[in-house]
Amino acid sequence: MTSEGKEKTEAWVQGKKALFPYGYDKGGELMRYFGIRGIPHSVLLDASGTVIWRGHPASLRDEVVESALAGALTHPVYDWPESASPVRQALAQGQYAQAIEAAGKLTGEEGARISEALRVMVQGRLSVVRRAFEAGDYLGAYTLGKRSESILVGLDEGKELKEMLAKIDADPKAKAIMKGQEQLARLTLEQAAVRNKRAAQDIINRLKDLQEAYPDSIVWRDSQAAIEKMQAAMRKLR
Amino acid sequence: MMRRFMLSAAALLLGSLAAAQGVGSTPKNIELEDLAQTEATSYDQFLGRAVLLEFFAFW
Repeated sequence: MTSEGKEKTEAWVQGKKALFPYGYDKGGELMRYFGIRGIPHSVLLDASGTVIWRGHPASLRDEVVESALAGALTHPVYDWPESASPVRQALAQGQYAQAIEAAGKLTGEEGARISEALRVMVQGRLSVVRRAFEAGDYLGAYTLGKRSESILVGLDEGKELKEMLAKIDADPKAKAIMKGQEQLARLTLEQAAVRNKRAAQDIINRLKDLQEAYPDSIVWRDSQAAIEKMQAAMRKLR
Repeated sequence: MMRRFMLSAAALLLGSLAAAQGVGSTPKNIELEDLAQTEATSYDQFLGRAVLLEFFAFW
């Protein structure tokens, strides 16, 4: 999207042979809403309309895009017939069980396509949590799971999600790992602000301490990635 | 050879949190005018889809 004029934008889009949908943020209201001070800048929203990432478009990672696509509709609502408006309404209110029920009342091929799109959406939301849980990424599973908890109420997937969250809550080992992941997140924040080699080495040492405290876990693995990133950045620091 | 690690969902999510305010929020009433190259006529019609908003300009 852009706040530029229509004439120049259309010429630019055609010249670049860009195929993506675009629109105009007149007066830059949306830019102000997001507090964007420099462009290009991207904001990624998942299927529930939650902002899951923002930053320079070149720094967007495939894994983040995948997590946004898991649980997204494969069949967009603007393709839906008028008869599907109760499904659309339920979906807009985040009531997936009601949306699926309403879709079940639709007839014909179109109804079947919408029902299937909703099923894929619901299963996708659960699968991204399950994948994190099975990988021992308890903080990721918990964060993503909490985000989907209310919208999956009344569905079998919602029950499975609730069970997974309860398992994390009841497992002291999972809770300990979550604590380590939170410590790592705080270090990541500090890491972003490092301006000299000494501070970088301090972060690396603390990341190594974290690895020692959480061997054979997701904390160890993510810390290793953070250490490698810090070591690479260190070469450019004084 | 250096081993490479795929980051966990938590690292990605919290990494985004570190990078910017607004992650985790659910903006209401996003309005875009004159949508082009799509059958959607308003932002609302991207309901249920993952959306990447890219703010750009040209000089």
